Amino acid sequence: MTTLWGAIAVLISTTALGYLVGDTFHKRARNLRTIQTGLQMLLTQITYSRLPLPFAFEAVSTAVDSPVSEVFRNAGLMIRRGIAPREAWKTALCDGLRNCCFDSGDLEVLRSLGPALGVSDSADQEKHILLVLERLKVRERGASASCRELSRLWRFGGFACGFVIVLVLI
Amino acid sequence: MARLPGNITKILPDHLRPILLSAAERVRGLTEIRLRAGRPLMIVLLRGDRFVSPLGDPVSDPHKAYIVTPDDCRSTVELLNMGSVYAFQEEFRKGYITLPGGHRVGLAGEITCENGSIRGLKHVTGLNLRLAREVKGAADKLIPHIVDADSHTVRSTLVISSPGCGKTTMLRDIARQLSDGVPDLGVSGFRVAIADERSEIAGSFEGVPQNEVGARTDVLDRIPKTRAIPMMLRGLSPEVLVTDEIGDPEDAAALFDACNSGVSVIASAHASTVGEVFNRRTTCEAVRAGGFQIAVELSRRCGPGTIEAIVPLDSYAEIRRKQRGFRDARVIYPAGS
Repeated sequence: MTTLWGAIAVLISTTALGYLVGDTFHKRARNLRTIQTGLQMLLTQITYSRLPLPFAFEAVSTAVDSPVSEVFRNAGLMIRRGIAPREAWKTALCDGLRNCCFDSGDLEVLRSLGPALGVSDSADQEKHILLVLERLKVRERGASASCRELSRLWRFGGFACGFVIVLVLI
Repeated sequence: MARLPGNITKILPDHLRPILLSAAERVRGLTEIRLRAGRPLMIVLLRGDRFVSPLGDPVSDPHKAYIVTPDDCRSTVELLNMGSVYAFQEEFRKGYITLPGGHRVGLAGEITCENGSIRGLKHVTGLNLRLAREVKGAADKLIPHIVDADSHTVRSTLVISSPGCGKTTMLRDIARQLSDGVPDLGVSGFRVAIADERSEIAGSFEGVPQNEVGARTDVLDRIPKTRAIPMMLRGLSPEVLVTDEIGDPEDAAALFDACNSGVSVIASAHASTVGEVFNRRTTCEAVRAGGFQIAVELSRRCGPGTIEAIVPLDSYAEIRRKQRGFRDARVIYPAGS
């Protein structure tokens, strides 16, 4: 009886782990879509409303979903405290990394926006943000295509691993 | 003893803030803070100026003063624009930024031009932090000359002076008194509209006036007066229109519309005498178009806002006559004040 319960526990644990890892691929695609929406809103705030960065970031943070909204909110708060936009964006991305599921390539693309933030006129800002958006779109397409297969693989893999472990132990 | 307004202190770099806070507490009548890269830190007072030592003491010897670094200027500009150059493009092009509360920061440095027109400032190496001051009652002596109590009308008035003599303070108080009414003259309030291109008169923040401009006053903030005046005439039905620093060639048409719509205009212009106003073609055209009836000359002789003369400008012919022999024709009021 104990062996049966142990086998079920191992099977559930490994399957859940597989689902958990598989879900990160979905999350990454979702986060990439959300941050693109956020950057598009930031672009509007910069080119149309001409809001200074702290206010623009704050406006974006209230309109996009968590946890991506935290990146914008933290960046805005840091700039308001007198930290340069480049540093604020970099730090906000690092802090946001804990809750978002960006990979190192995504982060590199997002970080590349930092040095350009706020330092030039609105036409130049638009060019920089559009470039980052374009690169993020490519990455999101890749993430969406792979997430279905990879997440299925991980979910099945989790279950299969559990099954193998159970067989070996029994 | 003065305290620096919060809107000024928050744009000062960390190490400059205590120095200037200390200096401000030890002087009277602080009007300007001057940061010039490589040169002594300076404060301008109602009477004279002082340098500021690294400990925040006002000193007369420039060698004992804190020397402003290019980094100080750069940090101040970054705090000023909140790291958002694009949000202040137009202000950089014009050479100044207005802060909440109506304080103005004048910028100096290397200008970048494109096709002959100014594109912006590349290296800001000089800043003039001008503190706005609300002086209620500044226009007390002037109001009886501006308001015609019998016909309940306002004479179109041009306030002129050199920079820093209290034009904007005077305009603000005129607007407040006209808007709230003048019980001493038995005059009830007028509908006043302020075209506040630089946010200096009303000192609006997020569209809400921070200075007292009267109960019947509407403010159009940070919009060129050439655009604001037609909007106000159509939408706000003012009896009195207040605007500052006329003199651009485009101002004439807008002022012409206002004065031919039965609206009195109260405006200011840079010049030390009325003669100087008419010597400059652009201001001369704007003043003629504005149909001004009186001009008020201000100076700093007895402090900013000293009224040197109130000059009737009844007709174009009289203006021309005054252009030729202006000194003889002008009316001094109040004598010696």
